[in-house]
Amino acid sequence: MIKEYKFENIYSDGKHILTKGSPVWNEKTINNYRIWNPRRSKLCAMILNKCKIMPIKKNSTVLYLGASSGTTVSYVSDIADKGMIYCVEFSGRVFRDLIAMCEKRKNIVPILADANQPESYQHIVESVDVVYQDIAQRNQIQIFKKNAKMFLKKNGYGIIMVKARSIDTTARPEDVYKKAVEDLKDFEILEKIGLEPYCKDHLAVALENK
Amino acid sequence: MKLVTKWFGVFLVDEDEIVKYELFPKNSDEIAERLKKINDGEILDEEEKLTKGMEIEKGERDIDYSDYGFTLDLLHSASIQFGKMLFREIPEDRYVIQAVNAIDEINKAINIMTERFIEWYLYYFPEEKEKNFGKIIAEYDGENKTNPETETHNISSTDKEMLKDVAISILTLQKTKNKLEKYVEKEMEKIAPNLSFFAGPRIGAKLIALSGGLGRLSVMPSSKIQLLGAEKALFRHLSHEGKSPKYGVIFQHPVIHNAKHNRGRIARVFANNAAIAVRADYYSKHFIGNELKKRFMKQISKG
Ligand SMILES: C[S@@+](CC[C@H](N)C(=O)[O-])C[C@H]1O[C@@H](n2cnc3c(N)ncnc32)[C@H](O)[C@@H]1O
Repeated sequence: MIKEYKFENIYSDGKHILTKGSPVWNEKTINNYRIWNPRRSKLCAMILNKCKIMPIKKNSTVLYLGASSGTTVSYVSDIADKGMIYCVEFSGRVFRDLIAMCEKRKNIVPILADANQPESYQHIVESVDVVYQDIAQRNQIQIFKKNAKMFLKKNGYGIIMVKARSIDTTARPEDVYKKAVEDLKDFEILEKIGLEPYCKDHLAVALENK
Repeated sequence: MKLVTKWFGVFLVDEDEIVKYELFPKNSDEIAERLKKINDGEILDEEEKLTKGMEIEKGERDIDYSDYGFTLDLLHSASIQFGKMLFREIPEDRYVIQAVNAIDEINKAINIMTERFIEWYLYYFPEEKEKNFGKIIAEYDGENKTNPETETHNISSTDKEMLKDVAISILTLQKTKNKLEKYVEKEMEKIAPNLSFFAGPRIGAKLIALSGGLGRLSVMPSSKIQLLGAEKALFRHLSHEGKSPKYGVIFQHPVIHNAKHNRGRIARVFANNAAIAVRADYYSKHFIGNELKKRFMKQISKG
């Protein structure tokens, strides 16, 4: 039995998290629903670890930083099927794959750019409801803030996948997370969700732009 | 007054009011082309038309595409087309960067294999002199031709065969290296004639590779060009473990390499002129190599 799972456009058969959309690769489907793998996608891990809020909804416009080849983006595109996803990635190597995926999805705009320089895509991206960030970078919080300042609507949401290892390799993950959350004090933190056992050394932080 | 450029048009904004605008054609090919120009830092025809040549500062403001009849479908298609354009176009300096890096790697391989050959060979001819090995490898067919009487004991025919194969591999690498060097020379002639003439094709290409590309090299201060390729030494210096380096790859140039004194100053003047050469190459390719070289020789002969 497939049922909607707590949030808009997100489903479950009791075992897997699923979305509705045409398959992009040869991923497994159940009755035409795509299976979402939490080991390959931190957003899915966050859902399975029982987040209470899902900022990405049917009509959301999303700025997605660190799209890579688009695994997670394709599921975000299923969820925000009436919205728009602007996704930024700076590695040319994976951008090729990202474009191939975007060709099958009307609601994605791929942008080859450095998220450190939001000015360089200011002429493309409009104000958004959600800024989603998954870029394993030392200055990831600073990058998030720059982008939020430029594009995030008031009362819009942020989802940040904070990576302990890339911000500071010697510090303990708990300390890194604490520092990251402190650096985000201009926002209202809604939730902090660890991603174990699906993904090591990552904390998902959901926040609101007050 | 400020000029705001969006993916769907160009707007003249005064105190937050849009006073005038030029929209792009509602066609994804046309929009993709404009995204490309914006990306390359070019001025759009629409921008010129709107400013009429006046200098107007660029600025930002939220403008809704749907107010002007544009849809996100258009942006979706245009961004994909634009993304594909970025791949189609590989900047002309990329090839020479690959080639000059290949030369470096082949050089390392040749050195390592030559050492191996020598070590092995000396089991049989312990008296052989280091300086003869270039010739020995080039001619090796299982016999020692330069010094046959120094053989200590017999080489088995399998050993001979193995050594010969190693020698042949070294020679093959050398041939590839020669070809690559000719290629670099020819390419540099095309993309950076001044730098190539002034610093030599190999050093010129290496500078381009180390800086990340001709465009980047053209905006680099000469003090940084002087040290390109010395990053390791510089790092050691910064962590207080060594002397501050005075030169990077430009050290390989005979003028600097063979200088008896004042090497640091010569390196600085050299980098200075190299920087001028690169700028000429990047912006016009107008040939000023002869003058630069003369200028340089004069500058360093002044003591
Ligand atoms: C962990 S991966 C993202 C995986 C992806 N979110 C998913 O779940 O499918 C991080 C990506 O961020 C990209 N990235 C890192 N720094 C970036 C920057 N400054 N601007 C844009 N992309 C960046 C990397 O190239 C890499 O593809």
